[in-house]
Amino acid sequence: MTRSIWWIIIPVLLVLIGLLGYGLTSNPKHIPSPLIGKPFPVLQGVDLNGQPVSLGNINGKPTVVNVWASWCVACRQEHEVLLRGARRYADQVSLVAVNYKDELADARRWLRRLGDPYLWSLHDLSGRIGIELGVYGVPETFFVNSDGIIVEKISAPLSDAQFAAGVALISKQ
Amino acid sequence: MQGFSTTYLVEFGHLAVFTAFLVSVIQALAPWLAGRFNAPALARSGISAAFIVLILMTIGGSILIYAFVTSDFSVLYVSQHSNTQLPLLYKVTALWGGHEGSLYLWAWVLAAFTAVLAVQGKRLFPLRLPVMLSVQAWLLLGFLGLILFLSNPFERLLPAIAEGRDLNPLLQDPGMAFHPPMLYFGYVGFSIPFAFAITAMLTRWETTLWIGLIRRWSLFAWTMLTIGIMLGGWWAYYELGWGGYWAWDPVENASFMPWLLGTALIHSITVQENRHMLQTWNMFLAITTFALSLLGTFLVRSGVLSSVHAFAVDPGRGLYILIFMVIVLVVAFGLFLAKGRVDSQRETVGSLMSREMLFVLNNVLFTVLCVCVMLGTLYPLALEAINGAKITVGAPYFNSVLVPLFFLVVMLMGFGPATPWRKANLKRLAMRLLPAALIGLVAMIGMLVWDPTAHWFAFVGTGLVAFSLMTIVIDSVRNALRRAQQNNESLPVAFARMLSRNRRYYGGMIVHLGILVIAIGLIGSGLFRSEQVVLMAKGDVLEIGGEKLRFEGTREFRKDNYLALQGRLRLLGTDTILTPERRKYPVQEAPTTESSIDENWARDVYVIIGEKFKDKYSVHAYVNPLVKWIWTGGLIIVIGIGWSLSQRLRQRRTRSSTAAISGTGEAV
Repeated sequence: MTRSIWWIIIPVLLVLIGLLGYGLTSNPKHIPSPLIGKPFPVLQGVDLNGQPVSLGNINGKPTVVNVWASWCVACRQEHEVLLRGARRYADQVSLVAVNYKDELADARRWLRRLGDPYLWSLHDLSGRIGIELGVYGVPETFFVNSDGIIVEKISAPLSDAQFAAGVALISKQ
Repeated sequence: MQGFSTTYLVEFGHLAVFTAFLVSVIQALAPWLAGRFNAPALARSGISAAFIVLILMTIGGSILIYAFVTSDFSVLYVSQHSNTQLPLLYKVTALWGGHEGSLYLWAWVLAAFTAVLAVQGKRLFPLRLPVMLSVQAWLLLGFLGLILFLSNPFERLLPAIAEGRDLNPLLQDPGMAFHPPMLYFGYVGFSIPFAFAITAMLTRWETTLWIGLIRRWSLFAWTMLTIGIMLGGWWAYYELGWGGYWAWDPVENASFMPWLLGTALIHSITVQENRHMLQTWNMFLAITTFALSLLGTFLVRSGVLSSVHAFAVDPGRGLYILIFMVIVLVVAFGLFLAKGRVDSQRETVGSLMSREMLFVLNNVLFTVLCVCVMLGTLYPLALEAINGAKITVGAPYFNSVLVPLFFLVVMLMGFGPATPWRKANLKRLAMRLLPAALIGLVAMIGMLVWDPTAHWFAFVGTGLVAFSLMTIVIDSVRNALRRAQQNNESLPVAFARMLSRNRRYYGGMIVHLGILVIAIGLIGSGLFRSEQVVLMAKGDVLEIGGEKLRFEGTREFRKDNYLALQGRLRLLGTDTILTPERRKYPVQEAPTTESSIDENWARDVYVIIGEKFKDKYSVHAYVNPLVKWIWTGGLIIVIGIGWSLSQRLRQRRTRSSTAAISGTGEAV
């Protein structure tokens, strides 16, 4: 065996270790949405009470759009965070929702039982709105600034810290 | 509520594992202490330590299992992964249903293998044994440290809760129950060749003297890994409900990489046993295969890669395993670079047309395959590190890069039995291969005629598999005929005796046969499957892949710890009723799909039932050709390995040869 093998094994090991170390610091679940930096699409529908509502044209106030469903286990865990967040940042942001592929009765019962943090929830039974937004799993949350631009999207149950960070992102100007 | 006794029992188990940690420290330091204080008795204490550690780990493991069986939810881990309603089998297997328990199982298996090594070593290599046990002890310490300080399965939840969170429903399945332990037997099994290699470098132990000993360990580890991977695929196939069995998911790749390199190792060991060459390469393979086992554990347990295997992830644990792995890699490869050349090659490949050359090519191919899998697995991470882009490398990369390489492997398999050691007579070789080559060609043309639109993989694959299959068959029949003639035996008797006399060789051939049978299944199901998703009302008939299915309605029922919706579909023209289910596990609130499969040698009809829309249900149906061949091939492989390993039993019984033992024994 010649010394040249050193020049193969050592760099390979170093690169491997470096990569894996880097991997530990990054979150594979965090997938940047192609929608980031784009205006929030104008989407219309009805809310859970049958009132017409429109996404994407939300009074020039920074908005948090949460996608949820009553059949989604992780949403239950996230719900507490949203209730707290909506109360704490009520004067800075509006919290609205897309109720995704849910039976009306189930969705209403859920909000009655757990509390309703949303201004309104757009009822998306068919999942059409979800497709427009590129939703691939609930819960998902979009942070939209006052210009209607999507600044951040999180495809996982939010933590309090994430909610606060998201609000900071869209309310600073 | 749990009584006082159980409470203390769990603490006792915790204490046992802590003691195991301390005893392992002794085991790890024994040879150095012995050298330093010039007291050989100290070195022997390492041997006792190995047994004590196993006993302590078994106490800890048994108590954990007891806690699961008695639903002691004052143990946090039990409360997170079990439930009073869980069937007994899954209560036991829930031990490895989560992170903490999986690592515990790893360490437990390591302790068990180390004890077996100690028994073997006392007889065959007593002088080297303490060093080897020390290597094992350092590995065990790494895992015990993680278990005790960062992911402790004995952690308490006081006051206890009344009901546990239940085992992930996807894991409540016989295939999944035994998939992880098999993989761990494989991963941990490769620690033994690793320990041999490290010990050899530390004590200047000539490779030739121990290479025969690691053969059996490597074969064992390889077999366990094979079974583990097959079980995983089988489970994914009927439980996950996407009609496939392998997705090139990072976690799957994590177990596939050591498998590939382990395959190379098994073959290169054979070369070294027959010819004095490849010593350094073998050393390298032994180290790297185990390193990949560690990498596999790291990838699975740290969650650095996006995977369908969404385990709970804790960066602290990931960092620990990474640091541990770095230490092992640096020490092992450092030693290898400094002292890897324990003994030098005395022979080289003389002819390009010789069996050793085929073995070398085999090793090159499997190493390249392993590197390709690793590139595909880590590439997304590399790209993200460089420019932040998020991508996944999917099946198209792996299939287009790896399948052609596997074709070459299949071809080598065909050349193998016909090519002699040292140097082949080219003309004679060509004559021996000709019949099989012709049959292969016919198979290839047959495939072309049958379906000219198929992917080129189909023609080439079919041709090569037929060729290799035939060389094995023809070669065996030829040898049997010759034997029958020489010994005046009838052909079946000659055939049976031939198989029985040279079990190592024919065991290997049976394994090759199994691989080829799997290849047939992969070609069939990979390239010729049909798939349909339709909404069906009662009485509707679905036609797919030449089969007709009539939807006959649904029923709902409750069983054990779940609620089920079951559809009934009749396979027209037969009595078969397929009953796919959707289950809801109230405690975990997680739904699972249970596919229903009608299988025969030609195809699987695979049905799952989906959502209800008004009075219709969505039905997802597949016809997957030749899937049964894959599982059968796996079985054949296990039989082949068993046959190969039984060689020594035969030798012991007949007392005709002691080569396997004394020839590789210690000669210090």
